[in-house]
Amino acid sequence: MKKKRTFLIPLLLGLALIAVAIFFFGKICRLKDKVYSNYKVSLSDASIAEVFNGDLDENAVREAFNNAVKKTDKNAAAAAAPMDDLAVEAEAAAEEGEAAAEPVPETEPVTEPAAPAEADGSGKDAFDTIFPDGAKGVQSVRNANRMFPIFLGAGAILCLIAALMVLRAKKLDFASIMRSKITWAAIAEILILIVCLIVRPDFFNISYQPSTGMLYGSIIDIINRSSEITIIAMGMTLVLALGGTDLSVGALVAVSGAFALKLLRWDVTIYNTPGDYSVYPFILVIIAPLLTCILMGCFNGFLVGQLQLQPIIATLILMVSGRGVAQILTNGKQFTTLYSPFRWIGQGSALFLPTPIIISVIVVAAVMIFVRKTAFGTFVESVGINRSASRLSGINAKKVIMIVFALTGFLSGIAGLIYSSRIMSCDSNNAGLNYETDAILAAVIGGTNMAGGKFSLAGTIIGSIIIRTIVTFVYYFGISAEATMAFKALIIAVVIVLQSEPVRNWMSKRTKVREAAKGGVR
Amino acid sequence: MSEKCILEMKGIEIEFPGVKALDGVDFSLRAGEVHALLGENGAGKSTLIKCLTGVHHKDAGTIILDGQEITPVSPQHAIEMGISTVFQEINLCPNLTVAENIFVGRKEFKHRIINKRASELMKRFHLDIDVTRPLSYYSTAVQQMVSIARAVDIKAKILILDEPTSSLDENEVQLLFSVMRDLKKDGIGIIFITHFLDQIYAISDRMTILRNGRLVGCYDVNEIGKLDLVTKMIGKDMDVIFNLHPADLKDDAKNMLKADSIGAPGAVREISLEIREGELVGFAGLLGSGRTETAEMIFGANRPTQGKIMIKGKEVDIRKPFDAIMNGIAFCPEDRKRDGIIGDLSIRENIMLAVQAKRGFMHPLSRQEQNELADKYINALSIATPDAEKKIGELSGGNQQKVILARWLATQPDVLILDEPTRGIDVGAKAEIQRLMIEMCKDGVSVIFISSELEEVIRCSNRIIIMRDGAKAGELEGPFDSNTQNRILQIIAEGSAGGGEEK
Repeated sequence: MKKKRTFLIPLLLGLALIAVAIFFFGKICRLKDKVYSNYKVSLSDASIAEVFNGDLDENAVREAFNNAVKKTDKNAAAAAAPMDDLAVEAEAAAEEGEAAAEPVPETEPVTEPAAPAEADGSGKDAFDTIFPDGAKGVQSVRNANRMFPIFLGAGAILCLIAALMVLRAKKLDFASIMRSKITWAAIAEILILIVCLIVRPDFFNISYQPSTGMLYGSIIDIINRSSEITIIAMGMTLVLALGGTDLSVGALVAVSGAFALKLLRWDVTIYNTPGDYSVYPFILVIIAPLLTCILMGCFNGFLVGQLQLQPIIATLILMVSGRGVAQILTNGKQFTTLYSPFRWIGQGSALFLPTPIIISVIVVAAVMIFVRKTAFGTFVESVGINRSASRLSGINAKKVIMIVFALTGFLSGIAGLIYSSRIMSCDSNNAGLNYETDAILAAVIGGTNMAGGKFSLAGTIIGSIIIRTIVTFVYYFGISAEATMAFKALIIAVVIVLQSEPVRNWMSKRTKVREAAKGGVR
Repeated sequence: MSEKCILEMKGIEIEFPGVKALDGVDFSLRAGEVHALLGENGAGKSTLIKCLTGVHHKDAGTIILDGQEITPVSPQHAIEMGISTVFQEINLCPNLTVAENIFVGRKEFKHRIINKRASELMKRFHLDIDVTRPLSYYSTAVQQMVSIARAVDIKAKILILDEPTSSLDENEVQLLFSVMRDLKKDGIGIIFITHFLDQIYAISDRMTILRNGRLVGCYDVNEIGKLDLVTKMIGKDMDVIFNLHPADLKDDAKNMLKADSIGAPGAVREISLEIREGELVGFAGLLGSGRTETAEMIFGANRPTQGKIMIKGKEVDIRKPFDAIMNGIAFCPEDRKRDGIIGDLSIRENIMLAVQAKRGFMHPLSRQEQNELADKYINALSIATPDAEKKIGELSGGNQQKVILARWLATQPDVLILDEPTRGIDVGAKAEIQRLMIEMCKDGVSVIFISSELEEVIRCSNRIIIMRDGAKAGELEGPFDSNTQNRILQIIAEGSAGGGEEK
């Protein structure tokens, strides 16, 4: 069979344009970095726009720039952490009962007041320091600022065209797309985002903070905070595809976090003050909890695969006792750490993005490759649909079940490390609370059947992001804390109803009728 | 038998998107007759029945029941008008008692009353069973009877039996037939769908043949012979089927598989058998006589507790199906739906499954290799499907069976065990599967063929092993003559003591 690869042309072109856009964006970021390293102030996007977007001549730019640095200086704290993120972070923290434990990195007080621009010793002002080559530098920033959105938009449109071409090549007609659960999940997500955009026009704004070297914005925050669920839901999707459920993931999150903290401060009575130290090597702090979680996953797999217990019962054991194990590990205490490499897992940044996003991207890619580039996914589906027939076809169902549960345990362990790093402490009672239901929900919204069978990892990612978007959405609407859960339930109920078989069939029938009518006119 | 028609369907047309499923089909049913509805899979039998029971709605034509025109809108509606259906798969609740199953969904619910009435009803069916036991306690045949009893007890005028005999053995079929004769006397019209031609001649009065959604004709049973009937059903000359002969064995054929007194308590006692290269060994015997159990032991689905298995003269340790596959054994299980197909996966995935299992999941077949494999076997076995991506669950029984066969052929086995591969599939597909088996033998594959239909076992086998009560009762060497069938039946009836004579 010949494969048509014409879609590659717009795709590559689009990606190239986006790369150029990122290059321009990087220029602005470097400018911010430079200002920050010299004056310990963060330029806001607004002031950059003011200085570089206008048709100001060199002197005017110099004056405006110096003013901007000075002005920002005065409002340093406010500018360093835009209100959006602060509000969301604080509320999110309150939700998880961790307000006290979570240091907010971007509000680190500026220790020494920035030197006034004029009193720079050598008589150079801020503008001269930042732009040693004068107008040329200004022009390049100006270009970057102007070209960035154009290139980004064009790139995105080309990528969209490529996606449409792929859909056409796969001969997916509109009616069958409307039948797919993923489509409805995506539509729901887009609707929620549109409402957010109407309520808060700056919803999609993303800005660079030189103090942490990270991008900030609601979208990034949503993806960042959904990463634990996304990671766990990858495993949960496979468990559901086997026709099972894993209720123990939340408990494993607690175990992993507790064990990591235990290793960081082995004996709390001796190491009785939290600080930037670790008793055991950092690599052990990472590996040991993950191995423990894999073992616990294997235990689940043993109960389900070898002893053929019902998965819901088998995993209930660890769901209940896992938190007990976590309590034993920490002697029932809650303790904190300030070890900075550990902080990096949940609060640090890599490639301008919060580390959890990078970790979840790597995990998702690894799981997808493992599942779809080997025959493992087919085996999972096959065992989930008909275990007896799979066994008679030579598939070792017990092994498949074992691998899936061990993988889920491992992924819960990763999520546990991220979670405890976010709060820099262990919380055996609240860590990973309700994660099992969220992960199941994410997979179900993504189109995986709870009775086992076909699954979609891509759908699960959308599902997980929807769940987090709803939480963010609730904060943005300023809905009172008591009503939050009810509101979340309401939106999820709507999404699930939209995805139900009769509604999807009805919609696809309608589109068919409409298409038929159109065909008649032609 | 009265001449009065209780049901008349005229000019029925049903169109599905792109296909005309029924095109001007007439059908009539007299009170007190058994009317066989015949046709290959996909000929429109089920569609006609579904139209009558309100599942599908007709696009044209009329249905007249007792002189009144009716338009069934739902199965419930059809039942209210006196049209009851018993489907191939038993639609009852295994965890309820027999009595509860018969009366579920009806007004009567006092246990004392329904138990009494159910007990009476079952006696009418010549079954003296404890109706307060859960349904799952009883055999498939009894369950089948219970579903018929349930259907009849709802004041049915018309009873539709959709392949009721496919999971019954000979005695149970006879029981069912006597019940059907009783119902005939009561003036109930029975529409009988089956793939077993003998049964049609045994019980039916008339037959209606469909082909590709069109009416071929309506005949009295005595009017046409079997060969004529098959020709009419599949629309081509079927001499081919009846002229199948087992492949000739080479004189120097090597020993392929040898089982030395294998057995497991409760299933099979000390069975020994030997199969040579390119030989087709048929297993005859009643359901539950240990045929399937023996096959499962050889394949490792159940572990034998004693004895040993040798392949090509080398002793092998088969603990699970995977070991058997690695040793070149393949096994098409009896219950296609439960143990064979992976319903929601595509034909391609179903075909490649065993090969992939053999390779392990870390060495995946590329998509192109999978496509080539699927296309090769779709062509070789002429599996009727638009493409390899169709779900196997959406195929007809015969085509599903071919896909399962393809799954095993793809592993290039030395020994192929086929457990009832022709059950519940139409004559055309049956003939094709038999032809395939014999062709495989010619290629040097050893085949074990298990079937309840003696005729086809005799037609295809080089050697027949007869099973009785979990033990080998006899073994007959081919070539076979017209007497063979009687001798096999004799051995089955009398056990090894009387009929164990080996030729």
